[in-house]
Amino acid sequence: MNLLVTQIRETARRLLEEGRVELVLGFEAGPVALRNAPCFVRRADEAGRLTWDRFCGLNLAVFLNGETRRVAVMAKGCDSRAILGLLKERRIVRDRLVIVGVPCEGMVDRAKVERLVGTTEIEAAHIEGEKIIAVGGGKTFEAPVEEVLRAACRECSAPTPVHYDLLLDVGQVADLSRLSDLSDPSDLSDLSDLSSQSQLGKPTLSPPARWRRFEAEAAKCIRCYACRNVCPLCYCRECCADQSDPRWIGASPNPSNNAMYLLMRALHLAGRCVDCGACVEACPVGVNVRDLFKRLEREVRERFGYVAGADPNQKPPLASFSMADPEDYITDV
Amino acid sequence: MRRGIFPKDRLGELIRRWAADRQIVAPVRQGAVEFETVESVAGICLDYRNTRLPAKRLFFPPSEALLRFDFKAAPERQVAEAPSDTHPTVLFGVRPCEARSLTLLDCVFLGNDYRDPYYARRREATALVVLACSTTAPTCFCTSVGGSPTDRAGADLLLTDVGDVFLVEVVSDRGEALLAGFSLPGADIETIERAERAGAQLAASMPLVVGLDRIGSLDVHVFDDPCWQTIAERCLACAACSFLCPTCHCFDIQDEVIAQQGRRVRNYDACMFAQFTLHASGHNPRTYKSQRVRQRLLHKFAYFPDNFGAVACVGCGRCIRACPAGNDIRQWLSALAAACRDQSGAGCQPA
Repeated sequence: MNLLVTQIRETARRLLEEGRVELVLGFEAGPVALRNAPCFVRRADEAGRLTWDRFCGLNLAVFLNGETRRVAVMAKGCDSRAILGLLKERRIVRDRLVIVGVPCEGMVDRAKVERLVGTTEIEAAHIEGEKIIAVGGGKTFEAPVEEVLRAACRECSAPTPVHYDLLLDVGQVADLSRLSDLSDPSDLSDLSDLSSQSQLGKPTLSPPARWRRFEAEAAKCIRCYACRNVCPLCYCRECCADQSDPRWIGASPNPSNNAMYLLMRALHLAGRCVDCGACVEACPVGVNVRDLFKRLEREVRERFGYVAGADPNQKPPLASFSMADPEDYITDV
Repeated sequence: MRRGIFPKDRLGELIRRWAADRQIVAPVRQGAVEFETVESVAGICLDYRNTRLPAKRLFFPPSEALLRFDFKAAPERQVAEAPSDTHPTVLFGVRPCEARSLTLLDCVFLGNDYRDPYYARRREATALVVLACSTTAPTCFCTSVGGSPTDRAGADLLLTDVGDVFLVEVVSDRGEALLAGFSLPGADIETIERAERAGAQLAASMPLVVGLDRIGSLDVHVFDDPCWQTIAERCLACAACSFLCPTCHCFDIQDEVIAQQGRRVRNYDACMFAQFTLHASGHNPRTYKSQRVRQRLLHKFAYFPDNFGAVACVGCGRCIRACPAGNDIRQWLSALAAACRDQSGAGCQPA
């Protein structure tokens, strides 16, 4: 990681000194363990604040929405996919943006570390080689980093950005693709699976059982909207969850209203979510929102052959029409 | 304020006695530690720093029906109070910062001009048995805002863990009533001094927030300072901080109606939301995120002290742990104190 940090700082310094950008967006050490904070660097001599490790899970594209300054962003794979989505939706101006591609080896899921250590009060954590060492409740705990990676990272198709202006090069990086074949015991992917045989060979739940599981997740939600506000693709000036006339989605935090909110978000993100997992990380009460989004991502991929953030030239499915689009749900009633 | 010794192995008896005619709410570990109703001492977890969600939810819930209405009913029964679900309760094992937060919420909900009956009936029905802290988290800063790990503000009984026994301090008459029928042998001077020394050491070990003492007339000096832009730039304007904060108390009232029936509810609201100050005309005095961040900070650290004489923050650190974007209210306050100093030169005078 040190080589990466050096390259990040050097690149930031150079871009600011050359006047190519006014602002560099990256990460710096955060106030709590396991979660780095976004860092806004305006001067070349501040580039030393920037860091990079396995705790850089926030999707920095969220700060680019509507940005008109010349900005460079230290983008990992999912960040660059989100940037592509925002470009397609005309939310960023391409020639004011410098995408610095950062090869990613997957980010740590704070909740997994908390589960492993048995407390939500982790005081300190760091990575040593392929191990994470965490201190909490007066005890030190070690585990392979693989065991505490985000579910989204385990299934990531392109951790190193495919779209960039500059790509940082640190030689060989860990290949995450092998992890998607291994069963992640903490992954609730059976919630997203409608086929009788799940892709990971796990038994799937019947629809009523799946609904009950979903409602149990929805019951935890406190409607703080951290998931929505941390998402780069949720940028509506007036979210339908905030509208009171008509009141599309009940404001009171109860399982029924919360389920509506989560379903609404999943539908609005269909074909747009890049599966960065920032929403799951942001949730202060541990609602697993990701499975719904995964389900819709699969629907869009299978029906329209479209994956968010993959191909800059491919038109979004909801903004285009093809004679080959599936019609069976209309014609086969 | 008498102090006595209560053996830990008798705690089950005490809980059982209270459970006979009161609901017991205590910290329970289910992954994170949260307050739940318990039947006995078996479910209680006292090996924790703080609950994930604050105790304020037990008095000022996230969603609460105020009224019910049915316009198909006879005229005299069309509007009715929502039924009350308040029982006599013991809130057991709550931390000093949480008990203190209730005394701050009392300023708002049980003030001289307005008395909130919904909050009041829960507050009156609940006795607080506070467990003093024996450790602190890096995100704790109670000593910077007028509290401490052994603060007794708001407690009816204050328990301090001293090994096999609790040092029990009876803080109020209600606390005295809780111990009716239980003998409480007086505590010896040595135990008391040991507990007090440990508490003082713990309090002294907590770093103070730089410059907090200097933030006096914040609103006058720094309202228009450009520092707000920088302070707010990594905020995402969600309500994770506000909803987890023990002292945040803004709410929104809505009617939920289906045809002729419905209810009027009160839900949590947050000044961080873009539509918080949206007027019916469409004008919004706090359109920008920096204005809303300024509001939250000034409300807690300038306006509330002006109105009620105390800072509306108990230093529990939940906002710091919850913020998805790595914001730290202590850093904000230090930046403000610096701006305060820069503006006036000599530094702000404490209010």
